[in-house]
Amino acid sequence: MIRLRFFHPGRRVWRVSRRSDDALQERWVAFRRVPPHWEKLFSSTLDLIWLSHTPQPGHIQLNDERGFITWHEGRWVTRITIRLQGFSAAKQSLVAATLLKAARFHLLEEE
Amino acid sequence: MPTGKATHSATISAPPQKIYDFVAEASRATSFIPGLSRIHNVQPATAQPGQTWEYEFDWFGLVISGNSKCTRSERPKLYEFQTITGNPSTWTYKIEPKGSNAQVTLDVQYEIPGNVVARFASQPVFEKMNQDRAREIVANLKTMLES
Repeated sequence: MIRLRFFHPGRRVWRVSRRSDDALQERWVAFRRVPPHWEKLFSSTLDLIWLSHTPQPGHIQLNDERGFITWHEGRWVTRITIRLQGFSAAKQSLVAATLLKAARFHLLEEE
Repeated sequence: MPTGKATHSATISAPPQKIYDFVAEASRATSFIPGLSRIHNVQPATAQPGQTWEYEFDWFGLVISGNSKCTRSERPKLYEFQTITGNPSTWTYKIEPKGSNAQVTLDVQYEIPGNVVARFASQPVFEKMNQDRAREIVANLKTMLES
């Protein structure tokens, strides 16, 4: 099936800032009714791309000082920060994009 | 329906087994295929001929969704699947040892949907976009596995 879509279905997760030097840091805002299990979502995505990490409530630390993911719940939104370091700039971008896809489309599947 | 083909090769500094294991996990494809939004309902979990999954692909604003099926899995040298609904295509990853590294070739054969070409691009432009995308996929694979 091919269809034209003007509004991306994952539009409820927005990247609101992106800063890149030696590290890549992005901030996202997710609008949702019920907060998804972010720890499980990000942890399984990192497992999928073979990045070792340590999950904790509200926070995931990538091993070997490769960065972190944090999330803070508000009433209607979750504010997410990811920081990736110690990879090439290209890999940092790919990992960030993979995590963003996971966040966007996980919300779709939850509905 | 007319068909097209996009091919790109690169040397990746990783053993063939590692590369095969990375590409043969269907769910992982969202990490290195630009525009691939999601993969779901992968059944069974391990790569094997007959394994199926659903995909959603965002091709420059056009959303293409459908089902895929693994057609060949010969670890560590070849992995192939077909998109059987949506836009039919056959994707083949060939992985050949090259010293301690590997030569990876992605070959994508696809049908050219006339309505899409008529609406958005001429056929040569469409083919160039797909060739560029094949190059990008292999480059992303190299990035994910090397750095």
